[in-house]
Amino acid sequence: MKINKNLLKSAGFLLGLFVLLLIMSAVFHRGRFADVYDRESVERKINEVHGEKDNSLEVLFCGDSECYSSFCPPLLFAEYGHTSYVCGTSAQRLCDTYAILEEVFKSQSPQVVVIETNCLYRGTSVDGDYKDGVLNFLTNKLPIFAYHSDWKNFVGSVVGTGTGKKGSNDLKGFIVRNSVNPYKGGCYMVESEDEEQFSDDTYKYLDKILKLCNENNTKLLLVSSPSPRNWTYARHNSVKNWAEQSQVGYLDLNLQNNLNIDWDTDTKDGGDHVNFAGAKKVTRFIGEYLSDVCGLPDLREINGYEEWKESCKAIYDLEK
Amino acid sequence: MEKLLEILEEIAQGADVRSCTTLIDDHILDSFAILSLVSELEEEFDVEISPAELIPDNFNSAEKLWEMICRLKGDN
Amino acid sequence: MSYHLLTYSLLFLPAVMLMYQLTPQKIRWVTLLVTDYIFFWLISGGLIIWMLAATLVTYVVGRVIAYVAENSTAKGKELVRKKRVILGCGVILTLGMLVVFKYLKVFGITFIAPIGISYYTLQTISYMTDVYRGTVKAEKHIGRLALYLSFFPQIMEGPISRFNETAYALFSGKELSFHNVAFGYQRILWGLFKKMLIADRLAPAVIKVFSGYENYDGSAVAVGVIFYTIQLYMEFSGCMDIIIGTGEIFGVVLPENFRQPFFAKNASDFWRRWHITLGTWLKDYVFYPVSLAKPVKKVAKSVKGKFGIGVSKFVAPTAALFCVWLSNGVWHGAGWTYIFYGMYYFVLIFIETITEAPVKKFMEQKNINSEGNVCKALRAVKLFVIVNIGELFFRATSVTQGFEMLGRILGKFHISALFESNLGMDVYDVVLACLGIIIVLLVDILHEKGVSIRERIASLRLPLRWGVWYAIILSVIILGAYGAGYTVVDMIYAAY
Repeated sequence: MKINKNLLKSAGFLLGLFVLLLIMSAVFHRGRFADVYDRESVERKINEVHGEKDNSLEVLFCGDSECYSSFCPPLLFAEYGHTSYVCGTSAQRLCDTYAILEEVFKSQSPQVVVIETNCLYRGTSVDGDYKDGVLNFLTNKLPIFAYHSDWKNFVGSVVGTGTGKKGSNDLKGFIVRNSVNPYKGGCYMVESEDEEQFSDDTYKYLDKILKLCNENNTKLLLVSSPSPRNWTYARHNSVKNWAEQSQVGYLDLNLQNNLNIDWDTDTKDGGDHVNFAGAKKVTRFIGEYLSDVCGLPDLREINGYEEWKESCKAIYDLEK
Repeated sequence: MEKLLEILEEIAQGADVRSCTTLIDDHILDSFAILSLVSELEEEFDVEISPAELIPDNFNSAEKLWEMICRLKGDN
Repeated sequence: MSYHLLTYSLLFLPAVMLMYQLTPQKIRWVTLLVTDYIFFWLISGGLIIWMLAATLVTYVVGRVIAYVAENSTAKGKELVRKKRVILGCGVILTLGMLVVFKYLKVFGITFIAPIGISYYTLQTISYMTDVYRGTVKAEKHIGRLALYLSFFPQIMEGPISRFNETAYALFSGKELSFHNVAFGYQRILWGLFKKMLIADRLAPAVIKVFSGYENYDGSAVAVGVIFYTIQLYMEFSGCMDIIIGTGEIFGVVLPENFRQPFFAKNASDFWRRWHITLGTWLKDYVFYPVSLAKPVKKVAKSVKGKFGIGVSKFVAPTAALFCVWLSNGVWHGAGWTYIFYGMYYFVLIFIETITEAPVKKFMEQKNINSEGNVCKALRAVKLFVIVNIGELFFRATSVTQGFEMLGRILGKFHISALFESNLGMDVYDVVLACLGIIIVLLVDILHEKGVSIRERIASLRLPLRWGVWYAIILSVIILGAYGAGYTVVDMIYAAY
């Protein structure tokens, strides 16, 4: 009898817990951006871009950490006169890219959207991808697990600060990393016919993003930033195929010898991300391309972009 | 036994070594104290204390220590 | 598979409990042993043969020592010598495997080591030595020994137990009890709280500072180092909670590995409270044997003749202490940073030992109460600094990096720069981490005072009791550092 009583109690406890989790799930699964992966970063990024003057940006860079390590908007303006913003966030998934673009298009009318391709090999939804099967299951089934980080917003709205309500940032989303940790692995782009397919959802999202760009008269451009740790010829082939089928431009900087990346000095973490030295090379390459191929105008001497010159100063200060 | 208590008193200063039965468990003797105790006992009673004897059971009280010494003397 | 994963506590463990309960008591140990080997297979695959080999060696050596002791015609010293040779062979074999897997990479030869080899090897040595010393009876049933060496919650990062502590409880196949299961799971939950809420939240800042310290002001480097110390404590002791909680479920009392280390009096006291089972292992199987070894005694004697007892009484302990700390450093891995870490504590504890008496005298002369609050606080701060410097070198990729970081903390420290440093944590993360740390601190204070918190909660009335557990569970789920923007960090000590 005693055992039964204990079992009954345990069952009661677990049932109560389950109900509690359902209630919390309903509370946390709400409002806009209900289906983005990293809601906090998406909101912060959108707030940042909304801090920019309306319709002042010509180029948006999207993607994961490769993106904000590689593309340096102040430098792009200083040397080529193109205004841009890095919309890349840490480990960005395409669902988040889409949500950010959709929101940013409301106040900006960029001519080019660049997607750094490393994010095409990440997930595309809010689902977990932990080594932990049970945590994945719970994340997929119970929204409280997927959206738990929203507690920061709750607290923020109570305290009145909110998360990431900061306006734009000086470096336009770029993050400077000066440390050097060489990559010693040698050649990594061995030509082959192999393909590493994206997931079906990635194709769906790419098409959605392309449609969104077309509706806004914006050119989509795919760029693979140099990264021996992340990039392979098989990935190159897959991206190239999709780009050709969809008539979208594709630049694989891993195959550009005239980029002159020196893996002894230009990476911060053994070939995962480029550091500031590498970012300068990447940004200059993209700058040439945007001027020559995309025909973006030079805005340096045009009125209304004085604030950008301040940004340029910030980047030159870093050089010293 | 008196000699043992004398030695013990000197090493475990401030502790009531006569009645205490948790010399090790309450960290009154740390490993350094145990070593000095061992070398004093070896000299005084002419016994050899091997690492196998260094267990809390043998060192927790003066009585236990005395038992160990008597046993070791008997072995010789 | 890893203990901090929910797959472990919510799927693997319940499955094991069910299987265990369904098997008849007499052969429950078989269920456990099969589980142990499946678990080992999950983490190390085919490398399990090395553990089986170590088990076999340990069993045979134990039996042979016992056989020799009973049947040999040799007596006294001759018998001891014989037993010692057998023990030596056993230790060389099991320790040899550890050396091959862990240290040959110094010479450029690398093997993938079975996870847990650093832990079970120490258990094989302790068992064989105890049989040799006669403090443990040689086990006849190989199953019991195999269980002792491979219990699945212990295998990845300890605690390092002794044969008598766990072998019999593991073998007995005791019925699962409601009380044990509830208390075990409560302890696991507490471990997850420390790991998910605090340790993993601090992890990004630690990685940033240690991988790019050149970019940070000394103040930020100092914060990164402190975060690492806290991360390591939360993560290691948190995993211990999960591990010991698991043992509790099966009625096995695993030895504690932590006892409020930051409340220690000094560095040597710290090591009686931090990674306790490694410390006591080194004490019993390195410290005492070395200090009582004949050559060491001889040297001590000759020193006594020359310098008197005031100096000679330090000879044996110091030699032994040196071996202990060298072993401690090397055990963590083949790297100068670990050896430095060991030597750092050797020097500190050596200084503590020789200054203990003079300092005490000085305090008495000056009439300073060493148990007063001011003294206590100063001591705690001093110890915290000491521990952090130790962990700085422990975590650094090289000793040079360690010194460069230390130089930055001492030479380029501007508190104002701290708030401009990007440590990868927002205000919410910092505040939450601090709150978590305060909670753990309060719990540690209660533990230090001998209060059993789980007993206290269990004595509450039902709605309140459930409320407490619901609150803790929800706080782990909502406030845990997992999901977008965070990474679940692998167990640190499973790598040693």
